[in-house]
Amino acid sequence: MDLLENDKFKEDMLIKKQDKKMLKEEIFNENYKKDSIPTHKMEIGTKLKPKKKPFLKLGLLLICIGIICLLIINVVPWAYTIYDNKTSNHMNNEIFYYNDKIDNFSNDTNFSSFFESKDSYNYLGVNSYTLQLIFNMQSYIIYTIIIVGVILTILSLLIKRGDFPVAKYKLLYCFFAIITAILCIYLIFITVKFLGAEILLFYNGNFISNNIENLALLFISPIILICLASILLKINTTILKINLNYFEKIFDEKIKNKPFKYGVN
Amino acid sequence: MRKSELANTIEMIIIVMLFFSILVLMLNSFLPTVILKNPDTLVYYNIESMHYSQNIDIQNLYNNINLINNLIWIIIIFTFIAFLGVIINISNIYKKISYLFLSVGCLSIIFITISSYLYINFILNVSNSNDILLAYIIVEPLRYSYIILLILLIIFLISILYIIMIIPILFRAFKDVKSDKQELAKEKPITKFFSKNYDQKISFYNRKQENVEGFNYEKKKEYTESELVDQINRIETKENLDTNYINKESMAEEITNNEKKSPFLEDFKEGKTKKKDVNNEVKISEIFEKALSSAIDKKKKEELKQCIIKKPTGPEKDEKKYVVKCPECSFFFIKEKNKESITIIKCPRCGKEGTIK
Repeated sequence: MDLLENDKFKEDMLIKKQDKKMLKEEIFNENYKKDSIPTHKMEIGTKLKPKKKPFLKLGLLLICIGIICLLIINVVPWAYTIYDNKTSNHMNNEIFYYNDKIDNFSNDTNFSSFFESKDSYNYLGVNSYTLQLIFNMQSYIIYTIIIVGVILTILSLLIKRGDFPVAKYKLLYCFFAIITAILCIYLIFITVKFLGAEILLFYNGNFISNNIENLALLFISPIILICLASILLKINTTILKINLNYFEKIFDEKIKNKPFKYGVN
Repeated sequence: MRKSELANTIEMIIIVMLFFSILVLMLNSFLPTVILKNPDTLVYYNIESMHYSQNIDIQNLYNNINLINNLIWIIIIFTFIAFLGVIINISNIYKKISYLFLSVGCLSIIFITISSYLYINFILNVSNSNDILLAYIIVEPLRYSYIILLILLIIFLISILYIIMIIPILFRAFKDVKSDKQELAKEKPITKFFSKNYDQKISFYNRKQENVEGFNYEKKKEYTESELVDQINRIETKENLDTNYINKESMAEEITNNEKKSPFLEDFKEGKTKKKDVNNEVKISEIFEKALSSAIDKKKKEELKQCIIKKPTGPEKDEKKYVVKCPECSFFFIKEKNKESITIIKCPRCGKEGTIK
């Protein structure tokens, strides 16, 4: 009360009020310019188009890649071998190994000579048991990726209809992207064992069998799988980066339009 | 350094850390690790062939490398969590969770230290053995294990860098949380008034009354008719001061709400009004504020008058009027209550239920 009665204080208050009025007008003008819509271009009766909500396309992408991976596992041969047989006058032999014949591998003499040596050494690092395990794990991971894709698609459809804030929507997107990235890394981790077998063949190729010469192995489906999983991993990390950039943009805009506090300025 | 720049650098650190840890995992799983010396030949082993080897020394080495792989898996998962933490932190939605996630990323240093130690131990074990050698690329000094060890050390350095970047942020956040708690413990200041809601204006008015001498709402108080009349008179005398006060606050409020869309755009979307002159709008807002403050005064007076008009009759004789402060929204309102009975009171503004102490 005493302060208000003071003339100096009153004058100060008046100056402050005037300054604030000016500020207020400036802010209003700026906001008006930002938010105003060019009315002269619009015809009478035209409705404003509402902003489209983003749709999570990652789910569909995951489903597509998952189905492609399943097809690759089941249709494409996982190994192609070519070798010269000493017993049959150095004849070239070519064999394709498919996933559906995996149960018959133990009876296959060629297969056992490549992957299961008789002298207690595992020269290539993959045998019938590990192959079975790898193929099972691969299919489980791909099924999980497809399920994640389906969940993401359903969620995105539900969210698109309801009122859900975009920021939370993006965070959900990041969460699923991380889960998929981890699954992709695991898929690569499992499949990369075939590459290890290729390298070991270079070093231990001489010990495999006495009847086989110039053995060459090519793991077709594992290489394609590694490529696909790497692409998916890259997509996921890019999504994470894009979302981070989006939030950074919002953050920078917030800093630019930071409000004044009463009594500070 | 700005927060977005800091986030960018942390993001970069995390991505590099992720890349190297994935690389170590992959190299460990497919590169030849050891060589078994036979009298005539050298047999190369990678992690998978070591697993099925019948040599006990190689089996032990496999266990060592498998443990390292598992630790690296943990590091990868933790790094991903830290990455999510950075995104959440910059989004400003779940701040506390983001700090938790960022601190989880710090734990990766423990695992990387253990894995580096185990890997060095593995190299030493192999070099001490007579039958087993470390696998080399073409010539002997270029060993695969050294590449992996180098990458592990790089990850270790990166994780230290990450901790150096993160700890000040976590410390600041911890400080902020502490100060927020202290602020919450104190009374809310009068100047906190950010909404145009009519009810909030009244509550603000209510809160403002706390400053008027002899009109303390903080404590529960019983009022007689004469006291209430005195209060009305007191409000009338302070009217000029009040209106000034509210005008000042409303001005601050409009400045703070400048992030929101301008009222003109909202009007346009509703199809109610066309483009307006900005200066006119400013004046209108001032007039509106004055009108609003007078309306608030009137409502307050009416409320107080109603308290005087209502006379207790019959069984309600014991009921007395209390001025009650809502613990949730600090809204003041008058409530009749029997002294002995326990009645549940509902706040007219926020709907919080409770009893008078």
